[in-house]
Amino acid sequence: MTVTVSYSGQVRAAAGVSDEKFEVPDGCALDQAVARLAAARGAALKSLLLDAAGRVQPALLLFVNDEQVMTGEARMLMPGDRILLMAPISGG
Amino acid sequence: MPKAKPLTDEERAVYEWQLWSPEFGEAGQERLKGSRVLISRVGGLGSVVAYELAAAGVGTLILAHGGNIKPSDLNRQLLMTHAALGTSRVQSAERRLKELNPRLDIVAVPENMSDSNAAELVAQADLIVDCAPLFQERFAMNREAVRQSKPLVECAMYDCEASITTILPGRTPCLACRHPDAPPHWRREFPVFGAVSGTVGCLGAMEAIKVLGGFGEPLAGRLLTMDLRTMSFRMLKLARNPACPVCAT
Ligand SMILES: [Zn+2]
Repeated sequence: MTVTVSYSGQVRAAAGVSDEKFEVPDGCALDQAVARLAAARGAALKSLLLDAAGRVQPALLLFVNDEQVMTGEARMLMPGDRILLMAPISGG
Repeated sequence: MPKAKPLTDEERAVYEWQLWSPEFGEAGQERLKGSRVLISRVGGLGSVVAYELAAAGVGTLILAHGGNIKPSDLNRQLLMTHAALGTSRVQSAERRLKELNPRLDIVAVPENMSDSNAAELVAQADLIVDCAPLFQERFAMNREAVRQSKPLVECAMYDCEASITTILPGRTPCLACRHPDAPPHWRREFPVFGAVSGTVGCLGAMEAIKVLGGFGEPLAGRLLTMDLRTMSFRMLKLARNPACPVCAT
């Protein structure tokens, strides 16, 4: 199935695009989709998406269809879901 | 919440055009006059927050910002001037704000927010606008805002992106719900145009005016994000972390 992934903050620069379509298997969970993205893209993006143990980086903010999903929360994806991956920003 | 202070005839004349705003009116203006707002750092973002709140007639601004003005401040820190290079940032800010609105009371604190001064600074304010570039400063403010039950407007920017939410302790998620720890990739220096920090600064000032004036709908539990490269705006719903180290009861 196809989902849309948008990037915000430093992950946007690392991804090189602000959004893209991404293919994931049916029944894919959000954390699996993030791991697949990390594997499919460059090392710069991977280091922002995953921690040293290969889990979703705890600092990363995750949203599905504009609603926040806590890191570690089990969330199954549906076709057409809009995922937003946001690196925290603090510029003042 | 702030105690309303009656307006003088001069103030009615100065604020006349905003007194026409429905649901705000003289009662709202009196609340602004009685309000004390703490702005943590008056840099690219906080300069504009302070300027708009000074113009709008907030009675007291508490400005916390350490250090002296550097050339690289001047593309965005609109209360700093070339003539004041090398001198105190908060003093320059105080001077510029008083030129705009001489009725203002300003408490100029020449230091940044930290674990050691946050409790005392937050205690002086009815509302806080967080414009700090470091998560450690934001965490200190958030912890005290929640503990003392003070509204906290959280503004942030990076490059051409910005975000804003308003934390109402007891009613909304707090900053630590989103960020239990300092994000490892954030650095103090970041790309910034003054027009980006100024945009979110104006939005932050408007959130403060609404919460203090008692009208409109603040961004409670909602994160407004914007990418000014493409002029894309998104409204996101924030989640409360039931295990939040700061606000979970
Ligand atoms: Zn919290």
